[in-house]
Amino acid sequence: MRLLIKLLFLFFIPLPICGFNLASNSTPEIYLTSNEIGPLTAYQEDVELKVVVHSTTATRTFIDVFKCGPSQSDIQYSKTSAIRYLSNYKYNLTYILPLSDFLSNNGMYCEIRIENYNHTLVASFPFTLFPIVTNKTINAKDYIKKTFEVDNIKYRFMMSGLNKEKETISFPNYLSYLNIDQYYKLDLSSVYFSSNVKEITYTSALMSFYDFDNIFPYLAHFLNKVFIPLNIVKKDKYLTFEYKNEFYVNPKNCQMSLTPKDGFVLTKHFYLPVNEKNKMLDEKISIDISGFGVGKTNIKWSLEYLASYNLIGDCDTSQYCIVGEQV
Amino acid sequence: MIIIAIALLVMVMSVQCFSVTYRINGINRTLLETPISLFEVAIPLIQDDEFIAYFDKDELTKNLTYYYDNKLPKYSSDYTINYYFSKTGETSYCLGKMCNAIEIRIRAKIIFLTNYDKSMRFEVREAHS
Repeated sequence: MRLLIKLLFLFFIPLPICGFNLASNSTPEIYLTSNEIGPLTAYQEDVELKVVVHSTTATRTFIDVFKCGPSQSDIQYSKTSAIRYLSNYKYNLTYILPLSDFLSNNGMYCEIRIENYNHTLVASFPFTLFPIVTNKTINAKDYIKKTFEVDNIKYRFMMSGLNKEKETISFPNYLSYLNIDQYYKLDLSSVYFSSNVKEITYTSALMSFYDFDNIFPYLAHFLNKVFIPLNIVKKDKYLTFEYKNEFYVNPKNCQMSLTPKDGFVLTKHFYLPVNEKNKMLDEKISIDISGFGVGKTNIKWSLEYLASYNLIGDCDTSQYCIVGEQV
Repeated sequence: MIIIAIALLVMVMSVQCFSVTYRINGINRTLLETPISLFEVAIPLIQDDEFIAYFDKDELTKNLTYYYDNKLPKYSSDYTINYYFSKTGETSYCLGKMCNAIEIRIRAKIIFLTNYDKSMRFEVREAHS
């Protein structure tokens, strides 16, 4: 009988203990989840933080203390609740974040404390909020092997704590030139970048290049520069460019116009004027995106135009040539 | 008298000979030196999808007819031009739109029984693939 009890103790008792320990390691006794807030700006109007207090026990009584201030050592706002009764494992709370009072460029410190009815601490959730830093200007060539990040886009309480989201912009396979086989169309599909933005937002995207020789006489020039509006579109997992407007093109010489002209036909492509390859080869094409994403990042991209061959011409320098023979 | 007659005959024959060779050479030169640009401008440049080099049949025949009608009457008043479209590397007649080769046959009456009858084939080739 004693042996049986010993065996029971040795084999059955430790298992639930182990199981309990594992469970307690993965799920804290109390944790918070919340709605998403942000991006925040310095001294903006106050926002609601809707928090759900999750408990591993189905019912409990607790007091929550919400503190905020410019820093951890300078708490200027504190609110202690009455005794609350948590049932069915969770309890919904709503706090007003006093951003208009405390959120400076140096950040704002807040803490949510969950205490027992006798004010013994059960769990503490300190967090610091920062305003988003916007309108940074980046040059694509400076981010060939690194990623540009805009911190503190969004905040959200998750089981692991306060989750801070970043906005990233990177340039995989960055090209400093637009190399195409034939001088024909200016196709920007090989120019692409990557970002984790959920929604593609930007103030403007423009392609521009100098046209000192006036090889695009029907396009508007500003200080000898031609500006073509672009759209940023998602293609597979990357972001690439499309022309925002449709063009009118002369089918004989590929002259482009943004306004209808006699004999010109509508197209969505940007054609390059016939017989102007050498002038076009000197061009530096700039792509400027302003106000991209939540971080309102300005992106500059400079490309050199390279074309191996003319489209049609002599067989040495062109992709296609006309050959005649007597029969 | 006979000598004068023979000399005149020789002279007339020489002039005729010169005239015939001048005409034949002129027509031949017109055909051989057909400006390549006439073919180039007949290739539609505006294509929404990937570029395919083919001749716009109407445009090309219009261009060529205009060119030959300007050049050939100097050498012959009676000539016919035939255009035969095909595809590069093929000889069968191209009925579709994407024809990228053309055979031009010129037949012209020079004098009496002397006629000019020659053909040239022009085609689009992809020089760099």
